[in-house]
Amino acid sequence: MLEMPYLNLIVDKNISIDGIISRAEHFAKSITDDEIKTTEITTIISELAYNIIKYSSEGVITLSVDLPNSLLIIAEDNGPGFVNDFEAAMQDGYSSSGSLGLGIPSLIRMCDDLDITTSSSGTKLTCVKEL
Amino acid sequence: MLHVGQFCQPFNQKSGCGDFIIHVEENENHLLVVGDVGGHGLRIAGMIADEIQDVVIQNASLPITRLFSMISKLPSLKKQGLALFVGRIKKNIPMLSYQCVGNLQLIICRNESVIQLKRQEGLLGLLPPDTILSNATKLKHNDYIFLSTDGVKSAIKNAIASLTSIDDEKLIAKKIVEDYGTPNDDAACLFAKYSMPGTIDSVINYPSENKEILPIKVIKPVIAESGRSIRLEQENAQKVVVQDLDFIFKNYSKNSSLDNELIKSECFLTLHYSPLIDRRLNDIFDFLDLSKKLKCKLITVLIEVARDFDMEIRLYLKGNYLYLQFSLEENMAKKIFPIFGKGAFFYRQDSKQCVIQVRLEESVDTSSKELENIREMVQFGLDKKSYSNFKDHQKKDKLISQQAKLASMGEMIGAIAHQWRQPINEIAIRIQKVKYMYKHQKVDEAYIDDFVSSNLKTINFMSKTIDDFRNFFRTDKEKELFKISEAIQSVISMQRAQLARHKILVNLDADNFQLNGYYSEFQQVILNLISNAKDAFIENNIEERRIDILSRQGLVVIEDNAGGIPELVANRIFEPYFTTKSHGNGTGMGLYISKTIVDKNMGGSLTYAPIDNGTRFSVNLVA
Repeated sequence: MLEMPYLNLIVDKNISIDGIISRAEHFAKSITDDEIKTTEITTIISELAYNIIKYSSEGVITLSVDLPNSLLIIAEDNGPGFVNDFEAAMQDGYSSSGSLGLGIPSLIRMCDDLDITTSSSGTKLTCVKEL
Repeated sequence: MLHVGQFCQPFNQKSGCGDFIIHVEENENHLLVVGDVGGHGLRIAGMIADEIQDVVIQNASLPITRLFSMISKLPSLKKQGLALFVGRIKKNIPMLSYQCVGNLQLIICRNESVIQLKRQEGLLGLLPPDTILSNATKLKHNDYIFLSTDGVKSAIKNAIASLTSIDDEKLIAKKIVEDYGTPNDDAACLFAKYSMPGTIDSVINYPSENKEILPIKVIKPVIAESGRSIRLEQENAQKVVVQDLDFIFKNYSKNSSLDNELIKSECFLTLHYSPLIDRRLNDIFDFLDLSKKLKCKLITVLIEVARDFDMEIRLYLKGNYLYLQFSLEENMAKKIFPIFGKGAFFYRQDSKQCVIQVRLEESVDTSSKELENIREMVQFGLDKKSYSNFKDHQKKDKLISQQAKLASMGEMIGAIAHQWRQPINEIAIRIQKVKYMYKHQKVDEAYIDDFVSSNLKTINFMSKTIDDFRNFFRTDKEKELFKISEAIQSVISMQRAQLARHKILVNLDADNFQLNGYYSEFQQVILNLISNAKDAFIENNIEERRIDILSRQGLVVIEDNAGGIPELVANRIFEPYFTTKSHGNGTGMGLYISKTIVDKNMGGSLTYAPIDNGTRFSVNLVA
């Protein structure tokens, strides 16, 4: 059986975002030669990791190459979600102090498919990036 | 842009219809609400549906989570229960945000595939879920969104592909209900076709006038008041703030110190949008050692800005700061401002210029070679690897050029040595002869005069040789008109001593042909040919030594009986560094330089032909 590339990233407040970004970048480079896509994938992971820390403090991001040729990125946490900010969070120009600032709008732009589900018991973001 | 069509078919009478569809278009978004109140056909179901519609329309501007919560808390639902979908599509964001509880069908048809939207089991009012999920999904151009109540048979999924081929999109919802609506329930369907903003078919199609369609309550668009800070009404209000930037803009419009800073700094790079702009930015930011986080942030923003406005981004370096300057519309500036914040983002309303200030870990030497390389790399549009290859090639080219220069220097020195060997020898002989003449008391005034003039002539020739050879490597030499016969005679006279010493007889038969060309160079050619013959006489130990020079109308033929050139190497004699002379006596440059002078500098031809026991060189200056 074909083993597809896979990466599991545990995100919590004790782990440096830079470390996560580096691992994601390394993984991205291993699955695509396209520098633009590498940068975008790295940025996506950075956003997701930051969102987890911002809203939840801990969570998991999994990256897996999905046939035919796309990267499936799932970020999950059990935090309180962002139900109250839900629609606002989609809009450019919303930011909390100290955040990366791009947030979900940048994910919307960079991901080919994006699905978000959040509630008071957790958040799941499913991103698809065509390779 | 959203093209919306909707249709609702009551089970029996309109007043007892529990299904409802509401579409409210505001200036910035579309609100879509689909619901099914339990108890179709009952008047109370119709009343609750009407109540919900009133709530929706009066509160259409609220976030969907609040609107959903407000509806689900209506006391009347406890009697009948409600399946509800509340969704919103903002016109500038390709996302459908929604909440849904109950048995509704939520489908997006995209490229003939069907995507099921999320819904939670339960019934508002009677069996509500513990937590309501908020969902959002990214929309794509030409997505078909179908939202229907359970009165529409689930077979709809299979029919969607064929239905989307109907040209009149507003009829689709009606056709779905007519074809797939169950006869024993209310049936309602909302159809929406999503087009990305800016695409061709962004035309709104309103639902057709049809008596069967439930009246749509249209509310006036809500126009947000500008110029005041809007704080979201939420529990966590201190976290999320809609920034009103007007006061910041005004402050920075008055503050020109930043502009002055930029004027003082030199723009080290100007970037224009290209498909590879992010790579170029990445290279620059890598060089400036920006953190990955900041790098991602800047690249994403700049790509967005550059793509939208097709403008140039100017980069400045000043001390520990990088400044990025570009023109930007105010609405975009408002969006970007919160990303960087008050201390790092500046905007001037009058000139529509935006500056992002980035603090660097270390100041960058703006005159450094590394920065120059980065600038060159970006301007050439090369990536790091290609630029590295380019620089390697450049180094190699330089090396080759230097080698060529050295070779030319070597040629020149070799040629001068060749030319000087005879005059130096002449001078040496004359000097040695002084002592002998003195001993024999032959040093008189006439001798001294001859000694001085002969040596000066020789030295003058040597000096001219240097000049001529220096000129040989220059292109700015001037031609002059000279008699070929005189030029040849001059060479013979200079060589007189050596020729006499080696018992070489030179016969010159020349006409008065005049040539407009390079006098000294021509002399050098003749000198080279005579010298070669002389060397060959000595090398081959020829007894009767004779050189015949015939000059007619620009054709000079020089023949000798020095033994000739071996046939095997005859075709190589004009190659540089090729010599047939014994070790140390030849540089291999004489004939090469002669040929170059005649063929390239004088536009003639120097050719060789073997003769019996000797050589024939022809200098054709009028070829």
